[in-house]
Amino acid sequence: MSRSISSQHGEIVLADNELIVSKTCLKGKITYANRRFMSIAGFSEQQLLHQPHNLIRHPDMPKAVYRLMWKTLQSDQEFFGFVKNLCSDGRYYWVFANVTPDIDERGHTRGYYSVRRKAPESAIRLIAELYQQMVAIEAAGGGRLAIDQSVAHLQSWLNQNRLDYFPAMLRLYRHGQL
Amino acid sequence: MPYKSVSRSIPFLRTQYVTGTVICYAIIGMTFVYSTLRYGLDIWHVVGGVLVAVLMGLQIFQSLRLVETLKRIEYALKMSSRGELHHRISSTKGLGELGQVAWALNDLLDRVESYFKEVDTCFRLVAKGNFDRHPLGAGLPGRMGDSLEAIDSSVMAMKDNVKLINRNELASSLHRLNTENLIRNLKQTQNDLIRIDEDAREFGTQARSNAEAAQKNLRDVETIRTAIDDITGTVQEVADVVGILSRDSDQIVGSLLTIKEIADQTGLLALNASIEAARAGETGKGFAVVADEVKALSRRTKVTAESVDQIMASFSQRVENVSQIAEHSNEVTQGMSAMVEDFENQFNSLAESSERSVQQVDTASAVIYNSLVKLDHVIYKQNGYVALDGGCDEHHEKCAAIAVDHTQCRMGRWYYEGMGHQQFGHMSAYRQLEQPHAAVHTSVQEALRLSEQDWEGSQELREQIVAQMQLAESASEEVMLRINQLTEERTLESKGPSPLPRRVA
Ligand SMILES: Cc1cc2nc3c(=O)[nH]c(=O)nc-3n(C[C@H](O)[C@H](O)[C@H](O)COP(=O)(O)O)c2cc1C
Repeated sequence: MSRSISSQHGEIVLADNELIVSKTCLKGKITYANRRFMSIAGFSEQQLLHQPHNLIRHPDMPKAVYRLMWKTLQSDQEFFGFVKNLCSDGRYYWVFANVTPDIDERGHTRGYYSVRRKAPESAIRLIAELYQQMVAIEAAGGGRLAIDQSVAHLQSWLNQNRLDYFPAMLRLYRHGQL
Repeated sequence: MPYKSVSRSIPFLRTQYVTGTVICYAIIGMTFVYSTLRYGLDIWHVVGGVLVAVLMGLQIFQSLRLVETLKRIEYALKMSSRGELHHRISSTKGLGELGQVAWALNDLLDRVESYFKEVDTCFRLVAKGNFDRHPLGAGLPGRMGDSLEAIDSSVMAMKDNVKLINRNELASSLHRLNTENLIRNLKQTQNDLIRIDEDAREFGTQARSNAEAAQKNLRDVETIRTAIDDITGTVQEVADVVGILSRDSDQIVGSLLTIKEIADQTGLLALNASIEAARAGETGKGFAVVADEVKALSRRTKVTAESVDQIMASFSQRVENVSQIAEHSNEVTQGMSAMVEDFENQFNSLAESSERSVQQVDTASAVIYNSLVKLDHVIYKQNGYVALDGGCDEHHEKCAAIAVDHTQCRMGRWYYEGMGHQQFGHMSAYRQLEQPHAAVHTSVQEALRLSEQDWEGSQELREQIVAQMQLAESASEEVMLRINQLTEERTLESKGPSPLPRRVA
């Protein structure tokens, strides 16, 4: 199995069948990371456990995406999204993340579970451009208002493509285009 | 968690380790006491004993970690078999083979949990009618990936099925809506046609009586012409009679001259006789001549008198004739003036009935045009139904027809520019027609626009489409009502005091 190939821009590209898995508590602190997570992020298990998940947050990621993610998770729905993550050595990798609540026998949410898969290159190009615009909007304004504007920008981008967020992301993942 | 320390009388590892370690420590202790008693306190014994004790301690610590990790593995497995797949075993660094076992188990659980979450979310959404959450098989090996692919294709099949069912559902509710309304629409058209038919019948009767009247007029004209010929003849006759009369009066003048001459001669004779009588003596001779002359004279006078008598008789005869002719003429003229009066009456009623016919034709044509406008309307809706059934790719021209806005369709042009505006612009029904007409267009257009979205997967969209068509139908009903009112008002207007009392007088 071919492991990650790092490109000159410092990007690590996942292999087709890899899964990067992590779990968090309800507050987003890491409770589990699989070995691929550790090897790609460059952190040991001890460095990861009980740390907030934004440990691997990349500055190119818009805040609006995480806001949407937490909102979705809190309503017990699954979340999909393209995510750019940071490695401990400054490199980065793109994934298509699927985050779901972990529900116990009695129906209580115990934490969250994230499975990350390789994202198609053409989808990354499209999304990176969108995220860049959103990050610029968030940087230009400040606070909640800027995030609202960024969310609005995402919404208008979706409207242009006549799709809702989740169908759009799923289609991008499956077909590499809208 | 209750933890039993034995399994069918065989102690568990932890008990084995603890007992073993206690025994080992006891043996080490006893060996240390024994050798000290026997050989005295030796630094090497002490060091060796402590070393062995520490190593033993480490050993027991690792053993206990192993046991504890095993317990966590057991717990994770137990919870998994109860269906909680989210448990993992972390912090196994330094546990070697057991650590590897733990990671292998974690990897397995990652995959199994992912598999079940995929299946779970996919079907949960399918149950809600959303077939677009395809299970993601990437990263899941062998049977798991295959299984997700199989699930994906069965979900696709379900989706097609549901699409078909939903398509049928929409088609049948649109069909129901359409047939109910179409029948009403057709009934309306039927009523219009019945009305036009009645008008046409009445109009036909009128035309027939007009034709008969015209025929009679023609015959009357013929009679009048004969009468005029007759009068011309009579006038000729009168002229002839007058000619003859003037000739007769010439003769009378002649006769009267003769009588005058006779009188003159008689007078002369009387003079002669008186002269001759003066020469008395020869009385007999002279008188004989005079007597002859007088005799001849009296004969001539008698003849003349007779002829005058005759002439006078024939004259009076002719006068009689003339008066007869004049009478006849008078009669003819009287008859003629009656005929002319009759003719005039007929002509008036013909004119009136023509006027009525014109109005009837006007009304009929308004009814026909209104009916046409209504039919256009029905066709517009039918285009909508057809386009909704097959989509715009299949029914290009239908969609193009639907895209036309309410000012540009036949009815719109009729309303805003054409006859409608001219003839009905002043009626209140005309103003009330605009809004529902626009609504028919916008509703059908909206329904079509909705049908371009994924209505096959959305109950709500289908309901919205039907609701839009229902809106179109009720608006259309109002359009029909208003047009009928226009026709009614129009008919009343043309039946009321006619603005054109065209009398021939
Ligand atoms: C299960 C789970 C997985 C997550 N994975 C990531 C991740 O891979 N990268 C990341 O930047 N944030 C991830 N997050 C979100 C972080 O918790 C955090 O919200 C995000 O990094 C934004 O950080 P900030 O709120 O400090 O800006 C994850 C959250 C959960 C619950």
